[in-house]
Amino acid sequence: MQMGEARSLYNHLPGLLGLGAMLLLPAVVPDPYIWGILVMANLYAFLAAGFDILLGYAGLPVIGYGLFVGVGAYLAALLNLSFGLPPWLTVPLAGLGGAVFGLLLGLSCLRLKGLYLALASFAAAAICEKVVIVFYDLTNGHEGLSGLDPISSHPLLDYYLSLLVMAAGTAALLMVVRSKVGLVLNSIKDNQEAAEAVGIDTTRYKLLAFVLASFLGGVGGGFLGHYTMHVGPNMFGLHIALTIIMIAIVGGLGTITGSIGASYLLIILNEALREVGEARLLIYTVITVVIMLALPKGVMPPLLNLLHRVLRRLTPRRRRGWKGGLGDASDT
Amino acid sequence: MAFRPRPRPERPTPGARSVLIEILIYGSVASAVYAMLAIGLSLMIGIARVMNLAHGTFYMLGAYGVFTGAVVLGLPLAAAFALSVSAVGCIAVALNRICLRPLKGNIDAMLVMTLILALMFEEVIQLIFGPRPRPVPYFIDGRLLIFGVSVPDQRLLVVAVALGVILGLWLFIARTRVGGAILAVAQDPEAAALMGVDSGRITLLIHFLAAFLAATAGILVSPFLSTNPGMWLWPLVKAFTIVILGGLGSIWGSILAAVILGFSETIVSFALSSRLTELVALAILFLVIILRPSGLMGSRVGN
Repeated sequence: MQMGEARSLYNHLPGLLGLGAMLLLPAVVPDPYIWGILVMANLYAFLAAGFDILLGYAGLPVIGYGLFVGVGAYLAALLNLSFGLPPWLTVPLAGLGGAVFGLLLGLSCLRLKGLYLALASFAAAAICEKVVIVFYDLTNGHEGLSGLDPISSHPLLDYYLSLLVMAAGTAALLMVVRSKVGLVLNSIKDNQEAAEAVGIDTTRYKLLAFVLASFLGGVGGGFLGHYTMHVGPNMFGLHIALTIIMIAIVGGLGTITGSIGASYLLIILNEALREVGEARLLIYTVITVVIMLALPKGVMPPLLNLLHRVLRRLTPRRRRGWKGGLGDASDT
Repeated sequence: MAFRPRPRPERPTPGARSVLIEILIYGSVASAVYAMLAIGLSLMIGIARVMNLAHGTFYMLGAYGVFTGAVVLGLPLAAAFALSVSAVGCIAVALNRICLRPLKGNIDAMLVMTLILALMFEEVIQLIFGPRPRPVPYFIDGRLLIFGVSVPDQRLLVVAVALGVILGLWLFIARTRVGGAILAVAQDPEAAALMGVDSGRITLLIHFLAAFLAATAGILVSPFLSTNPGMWLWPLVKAFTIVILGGLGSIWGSILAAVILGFSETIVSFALSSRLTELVALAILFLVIILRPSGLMGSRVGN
């Protein structure tokens, strides 16, 4: 029992260290500008973790992930601007709205994967983008809606709220994927027919992946809308979805936590290269292409393995509980 | 893409007959461009088995290539054209060797990779040429009067070149040894390999041909559609719409679907608004995938 607890603590050490670092970060860097950047890093990590459920676990390339972000953002904006609901209500409702769209898209795309799913989800997102632009009276067309209530009254509180949302979201996803569900989703990715042959209700699990991911997308979109106090039709679009996808890939598909590391890495890199000019997406794309070719599992699994190796060197032999590998579904 | 020209105020209200002729002409122009894009994509999916979301990029690079050649370097038009298509073809071949081959046929990785490459090229082009549209001069001036409707020669050139290129491609595939090898790989890659066909080289050839077709389309429309860094997206969506509507792997299906999409878009843009043309393609794409994934005439390869 004691041994088991030590091992579980040991396995969670990198995560706990990371969380501790993020909690203490505002004290180390007392600069509201940096906090703002980190809020975006947290939000993109959260969104990328949601996308990871789809592509990394269930093998569903939902390129139109922006659909959920946009739905969440506009729902939060309309609830906030028209009905005066506060952000702590609109953001969860945005998640529910996203989940409804996720369920609808999942139901209509149940039999699809690969190219067809990618295109169908892209088309769904693009259609919603066009519809939002057409309903000018409600959505203010291309301009989008401005003047949403901010998430909180203080930048420090913004940072901790985004950290809370990100940590809660990724922890919940980790619990899901480390349960039977993660294995089942992986089996669907590897061979759907075989999964069905052993009696797995693949439909239900695929829908679950859609609903989980779209709930996160909706929450992320709603939070993003409140934080920037603006929502626009581009939130449905390919650029934001691709940024999310790239973060998930750089971090490592099928890891959930990799998205956090990749989001912070890319955001910090982006700030370091601010003087270079407006080449943010170019740098992201080049890095992602290189990572896909050189490290198909992403940067986080090798980094974590390295960390584990270093930690093992540092700890006394008696308490050694870790056996190598990451111990989650990414090893398959 | 709005193939319909902006209405000029001095033109008198057209009668029903001339509207019909305009729809016929502009629908043919749109169909010709779409057919060139979709045939290349169909070859790419059916024979090279690459789900290429960077296909629209070749179209964009073709347009910027001819802009570089004809406007920046001041080359004669034919030289700029040749330079552009060969450069784009080589880029396509290089992308296959460097970025797609290591993915070993993993479809999801291929989709994401090609989409990220498309975004990368958009950013590169934006860094080099800026976000503003770059104007390309008309290749041929003048207008032709067809049944009382005055049409710029440039647009007729699109139809003529497209027909020529498609006919040439058909002759190449149907009449040459290399074309036979392409057909063999399309039918059964392993059997073709046993007969001594180097399927790796066929894949590269297909990439070159597909990029050549897309770049030609981009070059031909560059004088009358704006040449801007984001111009790859909608041709890509429309090419996929056509390929899926026509049925993956079916060239004739692609041509038929190109005509259907080209004309339905033109009709919508004349009857309702040219802003809705993109919605037409999206709706067709979504509905065909959901309701009839095998398309009009084809097999289900993409799943």
